[in-house]
Amino acid sequence: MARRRQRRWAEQISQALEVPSDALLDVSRVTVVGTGHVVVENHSGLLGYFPHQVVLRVPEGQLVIAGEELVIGRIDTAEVILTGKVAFVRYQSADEPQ
Amino acid sequence: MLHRFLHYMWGGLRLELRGPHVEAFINGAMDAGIPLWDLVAGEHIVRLTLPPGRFWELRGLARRTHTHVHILGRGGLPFRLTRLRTRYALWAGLVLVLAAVWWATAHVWVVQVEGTTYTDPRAVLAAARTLGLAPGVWRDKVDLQALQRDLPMQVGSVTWAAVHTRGVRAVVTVVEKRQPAPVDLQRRLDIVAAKPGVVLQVVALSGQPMVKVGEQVQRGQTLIAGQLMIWQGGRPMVLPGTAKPPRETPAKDLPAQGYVLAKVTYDLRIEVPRVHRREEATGAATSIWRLRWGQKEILLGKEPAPGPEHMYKVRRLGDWRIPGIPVELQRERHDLVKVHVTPLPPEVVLGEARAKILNLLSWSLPPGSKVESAVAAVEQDQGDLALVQVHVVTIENIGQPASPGAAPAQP
Repeated sequence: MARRRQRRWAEQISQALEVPSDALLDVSRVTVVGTGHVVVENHSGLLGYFPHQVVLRVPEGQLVIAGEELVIGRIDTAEVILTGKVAFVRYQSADEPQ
Repeated sequence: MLHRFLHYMWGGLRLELRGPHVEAFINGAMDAGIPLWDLVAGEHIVRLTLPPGRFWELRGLARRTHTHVHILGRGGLPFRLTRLRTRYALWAGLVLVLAAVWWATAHVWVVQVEGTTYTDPRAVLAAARTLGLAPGVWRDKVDLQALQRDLPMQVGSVTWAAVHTRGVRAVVTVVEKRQPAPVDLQRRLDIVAAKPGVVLQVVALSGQPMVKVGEQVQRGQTLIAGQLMIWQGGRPMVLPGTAKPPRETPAKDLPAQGYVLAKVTYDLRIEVPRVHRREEATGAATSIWRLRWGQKEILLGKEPAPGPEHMYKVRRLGDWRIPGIPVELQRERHDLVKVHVTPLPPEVVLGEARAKILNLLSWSLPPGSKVESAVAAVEQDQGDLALVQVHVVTIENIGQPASPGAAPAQP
């Protein structure tokens, strides 16, 4: 409850100050460049890795990146750089089946 | 691109991970701070690359996650160098090449001359050679300061020289002497008054004096005309002891030369302080924060209001900014100081006004000018300031050359 209130306050402050949300809130940032390049910042780990799908744990739940020949160019605690033929990127809650 | 280069420089071990919890293995490696790259997934198989020095940290992790780790290969610069370690001739050649490159780049091979118009660049190059700068010399042995100092003395037409070395190239930039334009002796040039004054002395070396001693002249008035005057009909016969009649017929134009000393008065005004302020620190201080974004500002803390005989001196202690976001947090320290105000005696105020005016005036007076008198008087009191009028009388040369009909330049 307290965490939800803190998050609401942070959202209100970021809107009032016109500051991008990712600077104040604990949210992930996904950058998709065309269909061949995806950068995910502020992730919490790898949940699944298959040639056609990558599932990452993010503060909002899970991030599913689907496509073909997906290769993780680089992975560390700060960001994941993914290349391949990206079909879609989707957020889903933690309890939703993949 | 940069990461690829760094990975090549670090070198890497290509591994194949096999097991049911490969993702947990990767997460554990990430948490341990081990960089992983080029991950390719298969069915319960992941191939990846990591720095070779971190490989042994994975043993416990592999055991915990039931992951079988198999080394597929290795690559990168460290492994390539290991392969080349026993090729001594190659290393010797590399050292020789590096030494040759270093030796070649430590010399000056080209000397260029810039800025010459009528001076022969070969003369500058020859002078530079005698001063130690020539193709083939060690760059560090060239004394650039001495070269710049002595080159103008060696080449008569050069007044200034600068030498820069850029790689194996030395560039000598010179400025040549310029001859002054010859005076056109056929052209009329008058000497006119640059400012109004009372004439004290007229010395005409060439030309016809147009003013007399004691005469009040205005700015722009002709003092010495650039004309050669003669008597109409030849030199008049006069009795000894009597004055000759003035020459009234112009014979030819010429540039006037000479000077006209005149008494010039200036009435100038200046504001000077009537009181002396001394600040004494009280030790009391308050800090406030200001949060700014865009045009808006929020004051965090109360801005202090000083009492009588006190004031606050504000110091900015630091700014905090988030790059890319127009938000600024600023901290200020307000130190309370007591201000002691002491009235200054009138003679001190007037003396300061006089000194300031004379200092300002000294920049605009021609050489050889004398200040005859400077009298100051308070014209208006303006609280802590006084408006003082200073009446200055100088004796100076007011003549300046000007073509007939042209306005004199501003003094």
